[in-house]
Amino acid sequence: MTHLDWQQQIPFYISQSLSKEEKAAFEAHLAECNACQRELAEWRNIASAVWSQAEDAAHQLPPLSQEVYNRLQYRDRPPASRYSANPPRPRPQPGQVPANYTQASRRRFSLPLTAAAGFLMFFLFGGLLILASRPQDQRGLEVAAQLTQRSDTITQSITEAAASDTPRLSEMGLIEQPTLPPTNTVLPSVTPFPTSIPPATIAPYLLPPTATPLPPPENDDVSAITGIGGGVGGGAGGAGDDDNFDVPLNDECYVRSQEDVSVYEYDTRDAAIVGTLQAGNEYRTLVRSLRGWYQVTLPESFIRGWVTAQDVALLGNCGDLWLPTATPNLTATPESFVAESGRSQVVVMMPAQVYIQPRSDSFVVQSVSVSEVLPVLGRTTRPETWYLVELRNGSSAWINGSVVEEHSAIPTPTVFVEPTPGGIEINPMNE
Amino acid sequence: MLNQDAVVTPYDGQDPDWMLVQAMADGDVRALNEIYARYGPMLLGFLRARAGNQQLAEELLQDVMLAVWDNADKFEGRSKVKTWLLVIARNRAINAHRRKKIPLIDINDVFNLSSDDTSPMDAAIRSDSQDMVREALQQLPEAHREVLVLVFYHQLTGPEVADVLDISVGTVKSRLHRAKEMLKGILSQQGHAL
Repeated sequence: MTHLDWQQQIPFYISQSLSKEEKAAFEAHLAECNACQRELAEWRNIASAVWSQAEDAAHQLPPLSQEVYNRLQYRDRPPASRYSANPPRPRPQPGQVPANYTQASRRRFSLPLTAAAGFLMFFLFGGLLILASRPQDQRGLEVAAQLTQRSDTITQSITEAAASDTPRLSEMGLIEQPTLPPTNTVLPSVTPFPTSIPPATIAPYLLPPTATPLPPPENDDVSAITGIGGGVGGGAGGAGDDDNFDVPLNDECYVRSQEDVSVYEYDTRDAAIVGTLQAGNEYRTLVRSLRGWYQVTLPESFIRGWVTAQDVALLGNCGDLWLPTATPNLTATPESFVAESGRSQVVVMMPAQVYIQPRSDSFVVQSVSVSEVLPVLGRTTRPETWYLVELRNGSSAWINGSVVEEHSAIPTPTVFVEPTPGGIEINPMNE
Repeated sequence: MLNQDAVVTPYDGQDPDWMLVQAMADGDVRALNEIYARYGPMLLGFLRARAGNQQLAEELLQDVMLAVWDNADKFEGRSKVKTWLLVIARNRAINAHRRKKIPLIDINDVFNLSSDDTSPMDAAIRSDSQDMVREALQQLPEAHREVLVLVFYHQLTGPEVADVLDISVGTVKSRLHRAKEMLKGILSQQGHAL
């Protein structure tokens, strides 16, 4: 090998990517080559700077954008595998109106609706003229009047929706080529809805509040509102006669409040208030915490925060939100992670959060209260102690060792039974 | 309750990375979460070096993860998953550059970034010379900076770097040599040495 060949190996020697044989040969040469030793020192300085800079960047890893999750759900995929915790949602089949139809999603109408409404008006007025030419047919006139009134209402609502939404959605890049197949509803041309939202690289993932706050659901339309984590809520929404004009809707979830409500930094009222949810506006949410809070982004400031389900109504498909859970096998190295059976437990000593990874800058899964007892599923001690704990809903998350006190074993519960002669204490573990 | 066995050996001895990619190909979103947890920091470090801007790197990373999801069913296991991810990341960065999303690097932005995310203790530990080299790194062309990151941060071998960048091993070595010479030149202009 020439001296140049040896020099070219120095970076790979430093990064420990040489084979054993190459490394041994290089070290033998290095011991005799002063020039190579100087080169090695220079390369070490470079390697240290490169590594530290990349590491700094890597430590700022944000949670995977909810925008990404949202876009995944519209891709062509077969049913999720057995591992799936959040499978892609199936697309509506032609002619199928989703059970979770809601008022909120009706805003997605666009120009095709207006055109279809025009055709409808044409035929209705044609029929009206024919009926009007037969004044003796009072029944026909009544029907015609009803039809006209109904078509006026429909057309007005459709036109308003298209006029208010189409320009706004277009400006935001929300309208793209539809990907859903047409349906067999009464207005077959009125099927596409925006299937994508702005890429995470460009726009925030939250729809801004509508310019005009939407009215509350008709008749307090409970069917359109789901409860906390309420699965797929509601039946066909809308009011009576308009049902035939329902269209397939996307699977988004929105929160809306009747009054201004506070947005908290974390999913607890003990957390700092970071903003306000404006009454009547709709905010899309993509994440539900284990406490039943919903994450929103304030469009004015792009600050993310949490609102409690007690303060807001849910609209749309809110039963399939991303529910973060820890991934213990991947968030700690095998060398430092020690799995445990769960018989040990920790007691929370101060209000704290549990995280999706053993890092305080990772995603906050939920808050935990003082005195809460959490079974330990594992731990890592480098660079600091973190416990993988089991939460009440059976999922797992990480909590820092500085905010908890560990108990080595689950204390045996003592159960007092109804007084018997002598007042016996029964230890159920010994039964 | 989490299964203890599942924690220790979740994939029964099979390559967990490939299993994750296969699960993604099946539409498993959780597999994407796990790939992100495992490789997100690494990819962000690479994209940061490539884009020269943390915010842009974070945005690119979201694009990369979508592309990873899209292409999971095309992964045939002929390379390491890590290499495959880096190729996707690099391609997305190139596409962004072509769309002019990647601006010229603002060296002040880089300085602010490095000072913001550094604790006082870290700052004390970090030597002045390393800071100077870090600053000089920002003045290197992307092509040379990314080779350095792939070698020193991702610890790829010469042939692996060549695969990721779609260049020859000889070009990898020449870029390394050229990067070092440029760094020495930049530092010498400031009266410093490597």
